[in-house]
Amino acid sequence: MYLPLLWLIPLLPLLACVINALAGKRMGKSFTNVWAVGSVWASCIFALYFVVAYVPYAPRAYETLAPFYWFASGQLHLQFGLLLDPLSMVMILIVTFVSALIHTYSIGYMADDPGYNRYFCYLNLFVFSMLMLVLGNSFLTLFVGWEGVGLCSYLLIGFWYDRQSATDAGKKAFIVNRVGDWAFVVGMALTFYVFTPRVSFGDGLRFGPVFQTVISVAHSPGGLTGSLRLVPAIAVLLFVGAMGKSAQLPLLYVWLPDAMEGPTPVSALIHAATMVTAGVYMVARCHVFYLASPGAMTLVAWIGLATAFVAATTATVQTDIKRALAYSTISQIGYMFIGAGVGAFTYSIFHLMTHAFFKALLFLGAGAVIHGMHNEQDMRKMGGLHKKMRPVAIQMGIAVLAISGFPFLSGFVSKDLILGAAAGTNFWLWFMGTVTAFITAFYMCRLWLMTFWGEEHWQDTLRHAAQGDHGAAEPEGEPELHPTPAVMLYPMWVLAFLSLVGGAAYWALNSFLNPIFGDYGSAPERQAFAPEWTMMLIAGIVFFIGAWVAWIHYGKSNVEPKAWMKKNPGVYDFLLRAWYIDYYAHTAFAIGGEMAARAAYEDIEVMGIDQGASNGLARGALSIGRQFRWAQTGVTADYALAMAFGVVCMVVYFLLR
Amino acid sequence: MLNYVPVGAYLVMSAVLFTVGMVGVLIRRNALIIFMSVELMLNAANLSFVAFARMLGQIDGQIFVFFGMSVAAAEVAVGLAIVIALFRNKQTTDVADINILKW
Repeated sequence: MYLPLLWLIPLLPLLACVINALAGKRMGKSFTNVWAVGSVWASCIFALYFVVAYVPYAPRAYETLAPFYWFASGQLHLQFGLLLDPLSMVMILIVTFVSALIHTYSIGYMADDPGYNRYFCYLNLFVFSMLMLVLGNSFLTLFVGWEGVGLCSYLLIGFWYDRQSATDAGKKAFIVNRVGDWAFVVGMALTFYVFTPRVSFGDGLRFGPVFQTVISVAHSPGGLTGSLRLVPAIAVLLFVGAMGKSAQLPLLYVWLPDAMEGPTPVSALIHAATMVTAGVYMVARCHVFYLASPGAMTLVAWIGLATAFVAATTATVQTDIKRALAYSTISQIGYMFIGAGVGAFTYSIFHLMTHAFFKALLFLGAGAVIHGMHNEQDMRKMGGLHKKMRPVAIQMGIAVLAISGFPFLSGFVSKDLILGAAAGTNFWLWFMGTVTAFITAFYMCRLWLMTFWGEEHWQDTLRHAAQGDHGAAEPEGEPELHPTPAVMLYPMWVLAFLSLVGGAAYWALNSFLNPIFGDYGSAPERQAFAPEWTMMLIAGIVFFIGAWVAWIHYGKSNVEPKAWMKKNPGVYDFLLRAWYIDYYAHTAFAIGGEMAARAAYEDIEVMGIDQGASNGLARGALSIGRQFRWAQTGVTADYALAMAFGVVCMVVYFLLR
Repeated sequence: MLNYVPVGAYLVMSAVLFTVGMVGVLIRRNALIIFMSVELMLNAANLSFVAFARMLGQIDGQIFVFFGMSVAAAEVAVGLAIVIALFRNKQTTDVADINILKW
């Protein structure tokens, strides 16, 4: 196994980004495609090489460091480095494979977009950053990737920069992320402070030495002593960073629904499969910190649960297909944090993997639908699309079944494992988690039914849109759905297949990942209150009930709002606007911040500094001058008089001395 | 019997002449009269030089009077040229009307 090849995995997309940025536009689409899409597939192939080459050596960890210091100051020498261990192995497989599929899909989706080259540059930059994040061997390298994905998220959400709503959403994403990043940096600084005196090489941020220190101390009778008592605080701070990146409650999720302004493949890649899962990866990577801080784990689990539940309820009334999927993402990541919070890190990563498959597929399918409907995203205006868009309907149907927990599909396996682990820790975690699973089944089936089944509204929608485009002239013939090109369909078939059978990876993943999490045991479901098969049965029943409720309400018609919504406008509004969290956050922070900025500008800067200090000095100088102006009469005799007066004074002075 | 005029008288005379000249420069409005007053001041200084030369028994003071006189002559030449230029522009010799050198 030739370890330095590991560097090619993140660097090939970066190279493609640079080449496309410099020459892509004038060399044409084929050039851009070859570099952009080809580099990610190449990274995927190298990742597969490492699977084959590394598995015999698992779970040993290998590090490869860059041949130069990033910065060296006194005793401190920081280097970039990549880490190859089972966790990073799994992550690079997921990231490169799903990214490659989405890049391929994008060739079709973005074909008519004038910013084609720029899009692929940003996307490649994103893949580079994400790979640095998951391959990093230290907090520093991870943070470089962390920031990079935040940047690319901003660039890609605001991709269509002439739309005010898109640029606003991009700014919102970046700023909210920044809040999380601040907490992350404080956590990193504390880590550095705590661990640098205790590890060799003077680098208190490398994962290996840091975690080794905690493990060796935590096993000893005294537990965490001295400065190591800060480890729970570090765990919490890092988790706040994860909350920002992975869009969790209470506040740091608000950017994700608005992030749907970006192109749909971007939503698929960044806001479903990879960037938003970076927080989960980070918690899994730092599992040693969390296992040493029970309080932090409880926090993680309950915030995960709260997020999962609130987001699921919100998704039940969304009418924009992408917003519904956005809330669904928030909800599913909540599940991943529940898994992490109860110590089931392996299952958390497993759900991350299955979620990447079916959520990416859901977004790509939504993209195909939007593409077909000529950029219409409101599900109420669709309906009955399964007749004309059969492949997409089947693929999305598979994804919907997977996420809803249809028995033995990938989503069912991973979600049930997490709920089983939660049951071993706390009854209410399991119960509310199961309730959320019911809600998930309901809203996902609702989404599919509203879009693909029931009454067909899409002809009217397209007819109105065509009339709007070409003036009020009566268009000829039936409105046509935009066909879905093969380059978009094939990646979706691959993801559909994986969503179906992905559950089988359970045994491989378990044996592969358990050893690194295994110190404290990764399957707390041993203490569950009911045997395994009971909970699987309950999960299966929950799915069928949820699907049935969705069928009752949306099987025939996708008209909304329904009667109960009109009778309870307060409840409907409450759910539609995500429990008003975004509204309050906007009022407190955006409007409050703007007021504070305005006060600072108008009162302090304009009045105090401009008018008071600098203009005031000028005015003072002017007024003093005005006092003495009377002496300048211009009449020479007056000046001569002044001189004579001075001479007389001098003479008198010398006479009297 | 003839008494020598005491040196002090010359000096006082010089001072008086100087003062009269200075007051003339400060008070009078006609440029030519101001010139005459300046000449009066210069001559007062010359008188003072001569008086001291006599008192100290040295001739240096009288030599300096030569210098003073030539300076006065040159100054008059230049000054009259200025007055003529001024008169051509302003049609007046009243120095109170020349008052634009101010803010």
